[in-house]
Parts: sequence; C-alpha cells; structure tokens
Amino acid sequence: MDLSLYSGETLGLIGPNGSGKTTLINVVSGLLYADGGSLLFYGSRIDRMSPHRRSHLGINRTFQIPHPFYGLTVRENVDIALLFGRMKKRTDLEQKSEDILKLTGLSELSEHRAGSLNTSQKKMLDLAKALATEPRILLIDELAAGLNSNETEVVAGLLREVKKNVDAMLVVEHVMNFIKKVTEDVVVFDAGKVIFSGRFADAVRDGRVREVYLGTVRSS
Amino acid sequence: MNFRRFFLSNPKKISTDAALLIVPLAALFILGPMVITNQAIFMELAVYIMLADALNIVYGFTGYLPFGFGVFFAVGAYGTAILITHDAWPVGASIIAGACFAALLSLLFTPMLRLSGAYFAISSMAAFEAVYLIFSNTQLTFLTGGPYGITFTQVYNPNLDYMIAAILAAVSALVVLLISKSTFGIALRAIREDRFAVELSGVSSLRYRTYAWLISSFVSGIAGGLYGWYLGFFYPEAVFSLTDFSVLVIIFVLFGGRGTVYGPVIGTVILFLAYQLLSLYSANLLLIIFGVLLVLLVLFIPNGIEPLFRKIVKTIFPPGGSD
Amino acid sequence: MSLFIDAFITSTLLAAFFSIAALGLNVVFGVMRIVNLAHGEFIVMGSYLAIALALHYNFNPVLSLAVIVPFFFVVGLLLYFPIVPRLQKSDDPEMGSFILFFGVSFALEGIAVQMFGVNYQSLSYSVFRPLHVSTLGTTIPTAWVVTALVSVAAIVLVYLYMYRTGLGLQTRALMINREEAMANGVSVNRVSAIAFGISIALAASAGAFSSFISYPTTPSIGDTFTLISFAIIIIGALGNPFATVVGAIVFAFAYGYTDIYEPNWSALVPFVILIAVVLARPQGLLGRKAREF
Repeated sequence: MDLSLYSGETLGLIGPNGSGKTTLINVVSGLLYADGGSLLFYGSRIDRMSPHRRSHLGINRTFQIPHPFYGLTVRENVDIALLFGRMKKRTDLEQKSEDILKLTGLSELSEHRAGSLNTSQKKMLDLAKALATEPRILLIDELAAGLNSNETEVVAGLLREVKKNVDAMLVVEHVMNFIKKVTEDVVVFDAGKVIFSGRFADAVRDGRVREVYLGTVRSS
Repeated sequence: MNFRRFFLSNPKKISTDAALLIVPLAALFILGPMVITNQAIFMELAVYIMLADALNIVYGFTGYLPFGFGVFFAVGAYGTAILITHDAWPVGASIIAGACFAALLSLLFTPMLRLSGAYFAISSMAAFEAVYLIFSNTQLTFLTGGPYGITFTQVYNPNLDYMIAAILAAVSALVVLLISKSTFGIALRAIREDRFAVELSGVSSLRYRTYAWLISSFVSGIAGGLYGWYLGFFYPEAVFSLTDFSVLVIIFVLFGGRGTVYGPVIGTVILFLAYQLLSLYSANLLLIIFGVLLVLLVLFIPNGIEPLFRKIVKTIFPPGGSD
Repeated sequence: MSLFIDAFITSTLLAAFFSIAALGLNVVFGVMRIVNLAHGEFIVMGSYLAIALALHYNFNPVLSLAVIVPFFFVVGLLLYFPIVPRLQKSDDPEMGSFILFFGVSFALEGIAVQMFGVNYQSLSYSVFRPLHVSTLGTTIPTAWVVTALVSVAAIVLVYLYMYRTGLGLQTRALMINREEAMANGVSVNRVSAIAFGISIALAASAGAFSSFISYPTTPSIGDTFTLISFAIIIIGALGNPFATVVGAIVFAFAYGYTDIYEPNWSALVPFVILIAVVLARPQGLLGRKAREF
C-alpha cells in the first residue's frame, strides 16, 4: 500500500469495516508500529518515533471511540494538550484554551468532568485536545458516526473551519454524506489496499468501489 | 513566568488546602504524645504518613503500583546507618545521602517502568527481594552487618528525630498537594487515565512516570533514614519488611483514597492508630482483620473514604473549603 | 563431575515440582486476567492438611490427595463466586486483584498461625519405603521421585482437561479472546469457576509435597511460594499454562546449580532471572510480543 497526503489537502478515506482505515491512523499516530515499510513526515522517517514526539512534530488524531481523560475537567483535558503539546512555549494559554473550547462548542461545559459528557461531546473534546497541540496534519477517525443529520452538518462545517489552521487533514469516515461535505478528494480502501483514488463523484461511479461498498452506500 | 503554567488553580485555594492539611497534623503530633505517652507510636505514624504520600505520588497519580516499593525505605535506612557507622558522617547528611541512594536505586530500576500493570508490580516485588538478599548476605557483613544487623547508637536522639519526622510528614503532605495542583500532577493523572491518549497530548508518559518514581523513592528514603535513626540498631528484616513497609502502606492509601491529597493522610492516621490498638490484643487477629478489610475495600469502596471526608469539610466550611 | 550430575537430577525433580506449584497461578491469570497473590498460601494450606492427615490417619501424601483435591476444589469455587465476578466488573481488575488477593493471603496467614502455630513442620521422608532410590550413581529420596511423578501426572491431567473436553475447549476460547468467547456463548462464570477451583486444588496438591522438596511449612512461607510461582510463570509466559513448565525448568536449573556452586547467593538467582526476563522479554520466553510506552 502506498499513500501520500499533501500539504493543503483534505483527503477522505473510505472503505468497508476491517479494511484497515483505523489501523492506518494507528500506525501514523504511533499507537502501532508497522510490521514493515516506511513512514515519512515532511521527508523524514518517523517509523519508530514515540507518539508524544510525533505529537510535538505536529501529527495528531481523534479516535473512533473517544479517549478523553475521564476524571479531569473538560478544560484540564484541553490544558494538558496546550501545556505539553507542540505549542507549549506560547504565553496566551488562557485565550487559546477559550478559543478552542468555543470552536468545539464546549465552553459551557468547561468545568464538567469529561466522564460526564455524552458521546458526541466526548468526540468534540477529542478534537479539541488534538487541536490544542496545533497539529500540522490531523487524522480524523469516524467523527460523524452516530450523529444525527443536524449534528453532522455542524461537524462538517467545523472541520472545514479547522482545515484553515492545519496543513493537511485525513478524514476516515463511514458516512458518505459527511465525506462529501468535507472534501472532494477521496481514497477507497479494501483489505488494506488502495482500490480507488480521485474525486468523490467518480468514486461512487467506480465499479470496484461499488462492489466492495454497495451495502454501505445504500444504508447511508 | 506564568503562574498558570505550573499551577492550574489559584494560590488562595492552595493555601486553604495547605492549612487544612497542616493544622490537624501539627495538633496530632504535638498533642498526641501528651495523650498517649508513647512517642514511638507517633514517630511511626509520621514515617507512615511520609510513605503513604510517597506511594500516592507514584501509585495514586500514575496508577502504577510498585508492590515492592518498601525497598527504597530500607535502602534509605541502610544508607544512613552505613554512612554513620563507617564514615562518621553527621546524621542530617547521612539521611539525605541515604535518600539519594534510594533515588539512585530507583533510577536503576527505571527500565521496569516500561512494563504494564502486573509485570511492573511483580518485578518491583522481585527487586525488593533481590536487594534484601544482597543487604542481608553474610558475605557483606563487613559493610551492612549482614544478617546480624547494624548498630549506630552513637548519634541516638529520639526527641530531635521525632520533631524532624513530624515536620517532614507535613512537608510530604504539602509536596503531594503541590504536585496535585501543578500541571505536572495533572499530566500524571492523565497518564493514569489513558496511557496512549496522553502521549498524543505531547506528554512523554515514560518521562513523567520516571519523575514521579524518583520523587517517591527519595521521600521513602528520607522516611527510612529517620526510622533507622530512631531505632539505632536494626536487623535486615526490621526495615526490609514487605508487609510492614509496602503492603500496609498500600492499604492505608487505598483506604484513604488513592490519587487524592487528603486520602493518604486520613487513611494512615485512622488505620495506623486502629492497627496499634488491635496489636495490643492479638497480632493474628490483626492479619485476619486487615486481610478481610483489604478484600472489602477493593470490592466495595475502591475510591476510599476521602469523598466522604470531602463532604464533611464542605458542610463545615461551605465557601471554598476545597474544590 | 558427580556434583554436576547431582545438580542435574535435583534440578529436574525440582522443575517438576515447581511446575505444579506454579501451574494454577497461570491458569487463573490466563482465564480470568487476574493475579492471585494468595496462591502461595494455598500451597501452605494444602501442606498443613497433608501433615494433619499423615499425623492422625497415617495417610501418605499421595493418598491424602484424595482428600486435598476435592476439598480445595470446593474452597476455590466458594472463593470464586463472591469475589471474582464482582472484581471483573471493576475499573482495573488486574490491579484490583493484586491488592484483593494480598488481603486474602493476609487473612489466610493469620488463620494458619491461629490454627497451626508458627513452628516449622515437615512430613518425614519415611512415609515412603524404601527411603532412597539410586540412579546414575547418585542416591535420592524416594519422596522426591514420587513428588516429581505426581507433578507430571497432574500436568498431564490438566492438559487432557484443556484439550480433550468440551469445558476445556471453552476454557481455551476464553483465554484466547474473552469478548469473542462470550459472544459465542461460552459460559464465563462456569468455566472460570472450574478453572479457579482447579488452580487452588493444584496449589494445595503441590503443598502436600512442598515440605519434602523445598521449604518446611510455616504460615509465612506462602509469600515465598507466591513469588517463586510468579517468577516461573513470567519466565515462561504469563497467561499460557503450559509455558509454566518451561519457566519451571529454567528456574529450577538456575536455582539447583547455584545452590551447589554458590550457596550463599542461590536465593538471589530466581529474582535476578525474573527481572532480567521481564526487562529483556516481558512477554516471557514463549509469549507473544506486547508493546508499552
């Protein structure tokens, strides 16, 4: 498998369950080490780099099942990423923290424990934590899953907003309508292989894509 | 420098918490020996508070339980004793050097911090046994006294020792308070919550665990040195006791509430005094009662009694007593 | 040279005994992902029962197994139900079990002191006749040979249970993937309870022979057995019962040889090996790779 993400790009990554989308994000963010091959970030190899160093370089992600620090408040969750992440030298921490909470719609909840949030709020917190490290590339794993169409609309708008501040974004998604709203460029995965790469509009007409994806296209 | 970079809550709140910790402790250590005329009990209490705070820093905050963490206590005691007997160092310097030995030993053990849960707990227990077998070995009698123990009564001064221990017990509680309110402490708690997600926030999980481990072993080492000085003579088993200086401390911390500021202190004071009372009657009964207590704690109140205490404080001091 | 052969035979017999001593601990970890820190206390309890049976009814330890195995199997079941299912539901069952079972071991030690006192007790080699057997130019106590044979038999029985019965199949399914097994209808409680019972029965059976082969029985020796058992299963592979045998062989030979050549330092060896293995290969000699930050 060979995949490149270019500066300025928002790439949608779609494919059936088990096709390796989340695994790819895990390998890039450092949760898993690849069995082979190489991983380059702006030209340098980062295959064996620990996740916190990747975070400092500017790689961050969200999770399909969100991973906030349950016992800490929403603000503390964001503050950790601000204080230890890539922008730890900044002096306007409070302002930045407010901005991120506002952007992700969590201002009202900032003093609540992260464990008390509902699922979509936890997903937003995951995104807020990732943004607080000021990533250069952002990997988004199934942010829209389980949201209603109204929320999906809001989140898609949010991602377009987020894109203005990051170099590149990879959006893994199951919900086709969501991808359509975020980007035109997609890659389709099946069983760990790229079977299509191009415009979203062409993807849905592609024979192989339809074959592996038909059920999901219909259901979404 | 930005205050907020180190502490996330305001200084006023911290000083309230500090007062809530220090005033009762001071009262206990001053009045206690007058009520129960047995200084040794309160000396041990001070030592246990230090150990509970030390354990809390590593277990409470990071979630890593070093079962054999009493090894740092023992090495602190031995380091102090050896420097006093062999090199005639002054007591203060010996205790600090002993604690430095403990911290050095913990540095030697840092590769273990890469291990997860059970592996870490067990290998720290094995490390405890290994160090014990080295210190108590007959072939090292010239240095450690081997199985025959070590004597350094020439500097014996229980009253001074007690005073220092009581003060340092309060200081160790303050150290826990400061850590818990600092960004360092929040990073540690985040490590406990999610070892992977914390890395994404830019925190090196391994590095901060190592810092916690170093601080914890240093505080344990100080406690060991003070305890050894109070004894003046001890056998290896008196300080290398997995039950007395690891497991009991774990029980105290769990009972009080791990990862909290007040929990370890409250847990230690209540259970240690109960322990002393019970041991007047039967040592066996003590084992059985503490054993059953431990089972019940894990099953029914895994967060300890600190939340209850918090409620009481809130009722007594409604505005901003604690957060 | 004969010293070398002596050490070899002793180590082989020790390996068999330590396999059965540690096997149960690994079964419990493999099936339930919990750590039974009271494991050694059950060895001690089994030992006390065997000594009592020898004293009052003149049972030799092999015969006493007829009482010890069913008795401790039931003890295991009785402990399982109030504790383990509840523990599994907690935040961190693995760490929780560590502390909880330390509590159990505390209580058991207290009970043992209450019932049997703190003095050393041992079974006499003379329960078996002839007293000694000779092979390869060395003479060893019959009791040691019997111990090794019983250990091997117990391991074979556990193997047959795991690989030749329906419940054994379910047990293995649970060990490989808990969620999948539950989704496929494995009755977790029944399988785990039996595994727990077997584990305690194995520990107690090892105890029936422990006073011959390793340490005389006292209430406080349980911790030592627990630590040794741990060293063995970690050296082998945590959660893989039959890797226990490999761990026991490594442990027994390291211990057996240092005991003959460097007796002052032999007690240190198992812990040094444990730490070395854990640092170099935390998954054990036979385990699969696991990563940690």
